[in-house]
Amino acid sequence: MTLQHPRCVYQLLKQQYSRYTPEMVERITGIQKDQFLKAADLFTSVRKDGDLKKVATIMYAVGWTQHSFGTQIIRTAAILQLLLGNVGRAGGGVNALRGHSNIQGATDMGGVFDSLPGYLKVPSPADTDLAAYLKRITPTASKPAPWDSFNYWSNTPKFAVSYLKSQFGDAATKENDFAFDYMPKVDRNYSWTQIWDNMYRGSVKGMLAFGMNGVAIGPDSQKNIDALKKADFLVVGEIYPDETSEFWKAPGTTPEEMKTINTTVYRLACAGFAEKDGSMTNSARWLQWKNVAVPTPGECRLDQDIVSDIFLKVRELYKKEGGKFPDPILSLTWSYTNPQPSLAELAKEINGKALADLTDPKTQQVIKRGQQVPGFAWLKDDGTTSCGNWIYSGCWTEAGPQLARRGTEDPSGQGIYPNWAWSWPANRRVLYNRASCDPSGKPWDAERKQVWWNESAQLWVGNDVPDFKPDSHPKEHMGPFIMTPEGVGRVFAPLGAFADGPFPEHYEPIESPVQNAFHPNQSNNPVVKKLSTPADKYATPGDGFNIVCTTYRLTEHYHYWTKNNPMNVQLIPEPFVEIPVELAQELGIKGNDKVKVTSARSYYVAKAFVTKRIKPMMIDGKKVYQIGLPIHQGYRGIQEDAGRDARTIANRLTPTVIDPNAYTPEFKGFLVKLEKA
Amino acid sequence: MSQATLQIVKISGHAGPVPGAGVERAEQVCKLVDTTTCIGCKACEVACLEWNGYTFTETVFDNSYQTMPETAWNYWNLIKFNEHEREDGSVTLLMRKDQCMHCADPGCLAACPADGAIVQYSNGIVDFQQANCIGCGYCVSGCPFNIPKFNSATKKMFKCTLCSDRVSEGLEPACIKSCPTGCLHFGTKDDMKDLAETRAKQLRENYGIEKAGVYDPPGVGGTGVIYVLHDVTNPEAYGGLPKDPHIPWVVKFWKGPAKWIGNLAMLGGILGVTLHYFRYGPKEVHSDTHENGGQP
Repeated sequence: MTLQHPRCVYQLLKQQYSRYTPEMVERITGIQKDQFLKAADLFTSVRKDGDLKKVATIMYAVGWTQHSFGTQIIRTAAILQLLLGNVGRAGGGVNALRGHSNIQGATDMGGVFDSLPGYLKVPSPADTDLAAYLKRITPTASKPAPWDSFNYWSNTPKFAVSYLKSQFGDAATKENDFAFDYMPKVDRNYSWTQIWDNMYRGSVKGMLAFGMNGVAIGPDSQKNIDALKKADFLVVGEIYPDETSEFWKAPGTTPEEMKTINTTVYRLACAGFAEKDGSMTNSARWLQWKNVAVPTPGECRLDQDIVSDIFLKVRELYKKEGGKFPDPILSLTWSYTNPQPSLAELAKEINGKALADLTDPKTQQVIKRGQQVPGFAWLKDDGTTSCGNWIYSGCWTEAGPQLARRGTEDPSGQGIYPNWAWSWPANRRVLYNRASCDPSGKPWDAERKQVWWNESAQLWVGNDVPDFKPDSHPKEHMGPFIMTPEGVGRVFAPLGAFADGPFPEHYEPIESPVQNAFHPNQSNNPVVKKLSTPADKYATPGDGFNIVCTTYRLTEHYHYWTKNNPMNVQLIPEPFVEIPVELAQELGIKGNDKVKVTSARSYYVAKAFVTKRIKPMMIDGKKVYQIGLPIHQGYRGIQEDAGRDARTIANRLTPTVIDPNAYTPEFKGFLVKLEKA
Repeated sequence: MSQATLQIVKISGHAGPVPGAGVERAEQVCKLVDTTTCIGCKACEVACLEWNGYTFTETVFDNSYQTMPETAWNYWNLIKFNEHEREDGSVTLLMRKDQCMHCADPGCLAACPADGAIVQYSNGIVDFQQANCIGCGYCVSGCPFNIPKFNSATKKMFKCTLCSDRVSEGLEPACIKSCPTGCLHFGTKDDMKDLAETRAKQLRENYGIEKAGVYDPPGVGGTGVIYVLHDVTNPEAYGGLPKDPHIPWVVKFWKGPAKWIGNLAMLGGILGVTLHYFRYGPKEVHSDTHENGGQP
């Protein structure tokens, strides 16, 4: 590899980012050139003088994702880490810090509309049968390629068929395409903001909201409130009354209007986290089991019991009355000990089991029919295995619940803790750890060995579970990135991988006080769509909205929940707006003054927190102010009920704009006006 | 309160023997607060309230992340937030966990006139015994850290106990247990001092924080709570941590020389009366004068 061809990725990359000079960075971000260079020097110093032992990590949270170009920011981080060789190494990588204990688990389990458990793509109407679906979603290895690719996703049919077996059991046969026709085919965007938009437009008639305060979460809370006014029903499973379950009491709703709201609201008392068992998956991909700490109080019920009962009732109705297509409902596997399955039983189902006696051709190991499979390597595409989520396969084996393990030993001293809980996939603690070795299979850092090639055993072995084809000799030149068809990390994203282009590019938020310094005629991400209901208003600086606003969470509160807990409420009793000293002086605002923040959508009233911590930015020679507000308060909680704040929701201000890949709303940059209230 | 393993070595306002006076000195316990890794989440505030059975206090936002201006009789642990402008103009939030410092030489105990209202255990914990407290508030004048607080309902003084009930059972204080970043540590004074010095050295050498150091003021004999500060030369920036705290001279004088002067004066008085008796004999009372008593 010479990296000299003008159309090779390296040369294209250099060309793309030659425009991003330190001077340009200063113009766009307001970060002074010397500060930027200091940070860049520090981060890249891990490879100073060709040192390959050091590792640097990048950790991020929603400050990076909640933009109309959020995926491009994360892509930039990934490219940087790939270039620096910080991927696949202990202490390296690009690490998402989650705002909730089980966000990773929600995504892993297909808690988004466009993916099934284990990141299998959701079927589309174009997938007329199972073969067509599998053909579309199973990647083929790129050839010719400088590196051979394991292309582990080539096993997709095994994971997909085992998933169908877990859903439809005996009703899924080879003859009927393993009941592929029973799967919903997703024909459009059903992401969070789209659901609310559809309800606002009248096509979504009802909602089941469990542990999710949709009105407060936003964006554009007022639009969500108005959407619920048009719905037929709303079911809320919560431990407190919240803004969503009392949407008709939102400030600004007149008694006359309340009479016209016909939405039936069912409020179900659910269990709190300490009243449930189950596992949570952290962002290091560890599945950790927890036990019940206290019983549910009063008439509260476990969420899964309520959901089960709803399903069983719906199934009963389908049995009795039939319907357009009752088969998926009537054929769904429900062979649990109790009508309401325990989470342990579900975890075992997710791990997967053998539906026939299985034999490993290499080792002659036998898994008997009905036994838990030891891992996803055992899954088959012929209907002889069942598995609810292939990446979780191995979490609850015949040896018991691996995810409940509490071993604190760390033999290698590298913080691997292989016997603490269970990490997907296959208890590997660092993904792509083949990259911790040089091409010959020797660790880059001999003192901190993760995995290595053992010549005598002709196997990859290590302190961590090798994330690689175990018997692939380094001479075979297999790429360490076994999940990509190319076998290498994706510095260049191929067509179709993202809605955006192959390399990240700088774009301004949809609402920005400045024009894009690179291309003022295309200031925003060109693949972002604005929504078009009357509630979707977007501001420009020309309309007088020229202060940048961002929202955030505080360490003292957990979303919209702890405002019901006296212990948290006393720590941060009231909503506030953080305002730079310079801006406060210009507007004559003093600390603790009541202020009103107005966006194109709505307004927010809170006390002023005048601070030196947020400084004015010099963007392209223009002074730009930023203010910030925590999201935690609303109109239902201890202080709100006592009438101690304005009962406005922070997300009344935020625009309905989403990242085109992850569908994450742009909470981290929008335009407002600020005045004394 | 369990005092299973706690031996009292100092008692306020006490004449006579002290139970633990003769015992071999136990290892001193100590909290280490690394202000450089505190994120100001206030989990320690909540843990303190919950362990000690205190409930909701109505608070008011005051242009700060700080829960209330000072600790209170029923709020013993408070993170003090201070916006601090560095020399280069950048701004940082200094956060310091404020609570009783458990001084080796406790000014509160020295100032306290009530027998047994304040004790110091052999492990160094300074504890208020409300049963013996007379609510005079002298401990406030003895404390250089403004810690003892008065409950006007019960007329008693309160402050952090360093969870003496937990510590006596071999547990760490509640605040330590709740800390999510590990900026709070608990152990023997020697171990904590070592850990703190190592951390300060790391900050100086690896992070270029040249003035990083350990706060363990000698003026009060060292403290049972020590801090790692980014700038040990300016502890005042951390919510008024005194640079060189001492027991106020009034208290020292009152309990030291003044006490002996008083004792001497008293002794002198008794001596004088005795000498007078021997020299002049008993004072005689004339009964008729007494009976008339000037009252008609």
